[in-house]
Amino acid sequence: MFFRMNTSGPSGHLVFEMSSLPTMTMDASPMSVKSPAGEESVIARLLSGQLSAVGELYDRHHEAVRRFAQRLLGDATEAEDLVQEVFVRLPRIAGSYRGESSFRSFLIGVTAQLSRHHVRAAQRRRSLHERSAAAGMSERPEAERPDVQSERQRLAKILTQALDQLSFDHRVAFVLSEVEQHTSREIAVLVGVPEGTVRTRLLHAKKRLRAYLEQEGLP
Amino acid sequence: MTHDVLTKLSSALAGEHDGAHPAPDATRARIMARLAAEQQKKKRRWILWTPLFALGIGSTALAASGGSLVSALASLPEWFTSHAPSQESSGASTTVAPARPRSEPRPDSEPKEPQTLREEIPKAPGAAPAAPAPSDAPRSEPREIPPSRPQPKATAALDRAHETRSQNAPVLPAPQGPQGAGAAETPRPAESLGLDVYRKAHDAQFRSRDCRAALEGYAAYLRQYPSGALRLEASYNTALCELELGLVDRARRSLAPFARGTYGSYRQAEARALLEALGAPSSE
Repeated sequence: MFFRMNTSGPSGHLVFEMSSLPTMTMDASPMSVKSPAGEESVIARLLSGQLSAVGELYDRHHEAVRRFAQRLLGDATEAEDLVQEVFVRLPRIAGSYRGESSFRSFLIGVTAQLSRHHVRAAQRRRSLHERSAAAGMSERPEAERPDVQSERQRLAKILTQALDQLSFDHRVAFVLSEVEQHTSREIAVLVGVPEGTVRTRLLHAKKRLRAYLEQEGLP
Repeated sequence: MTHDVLTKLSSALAGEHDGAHPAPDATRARIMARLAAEQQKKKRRWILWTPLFALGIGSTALAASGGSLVSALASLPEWFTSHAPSQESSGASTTVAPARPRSEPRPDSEPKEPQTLREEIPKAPGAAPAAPAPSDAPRSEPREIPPSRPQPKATAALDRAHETRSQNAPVLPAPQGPQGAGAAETPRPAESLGLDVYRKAHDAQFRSRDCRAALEGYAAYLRQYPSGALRLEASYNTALCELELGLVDRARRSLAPFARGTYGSYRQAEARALLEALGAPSSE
């Protein structure tokens, strides 16, 4: 899978295309956060084929990428696999980064696009855990253990289960908007769809989540 | 359900995952190891393919400079066409019945060839016992077969030979088929292989029934293309023509290699039967 970059339109949008994933447009304006000083040289080294640059970029951005992956997938193991995939693919896809936005935003966009099958895997893993827990085959859930029990953990688990009811696009839009606190315009840039589409997705996602939570008897 | 619930759940999810990992260096090490392995793989691919590629380019350039590339390219179509009939004949020898309709779309050619021979063999010197006297034959060619010979046997052998010959027709009628159908011009790339020469002789034998012309045609083919794809057919047909013309001794000589199995089992049984009918030993 390779990214292909095009410049389209007079506004200088950058279009990242992956062979099997939707087009991703990067605009300079919404992502006002510029890359930290010295990062350009690291990216230049990456583009020249130096693998050590991948390590440096990992050191700089792994937490942000992992955080988004964990929130999107709700599964630490699967999130770790996704982080690894993103950085392993980095030498091949770095050529599509033009520098108009921060490299971290670029990585988040790549993570979102590569996460599709990881989302499915995380869902399968969760349903397996639930089935085995129902059958009394697994140990007690973490939330029930006094040492780790907390309201936040319980709510996070509820939302993760609710997110499993959404489609991939709706899930990404919701997590980027409500959890990662990106604006609709930023999400549009990251995901590569019009801003109106992002809003529509958010609307449907919230509607579906509310319906699910009501159905589950949650306040 | 209020919007606050979703906000509350979202903030709980955000707070739950802060991107921390107990061993981020382990992931980093895995990433670097995978990248290094991929780079090694790429290097190995280059090491393997570059010499092969260079060898291909070099050999092509060498052949082009020596002039053999042009001749090799020119011989490609010839090679393909020379292999095509052999495939047909091998297919025909294994499956007799299905091979017929392909090469014999001509409804008249199949009955004609044996019929012609059946009609003409009795005309051969003293061929048919019930036939009129040899002097009745309109032919002026010298009749060498003595009347005392068991000609019915020879006729029957010739019939059998031609039967099997027409059954194995795909070898022969391949060049003849289009002509029999009336489409004389078939732009086959194999003209250079002498198929046109062979076709003329074949037509002379089985269409115009001019065995002398056929004999000359086959001789021309064998002279010009001694290793042609149809040389065996030409040799065997030569023997048949000689027999029809009454050149029995020459026919014996022509049939002898086939009977001996010089060409394998090709026409061996027919040649043996013919030689036996002519009174010659089947194996010399």
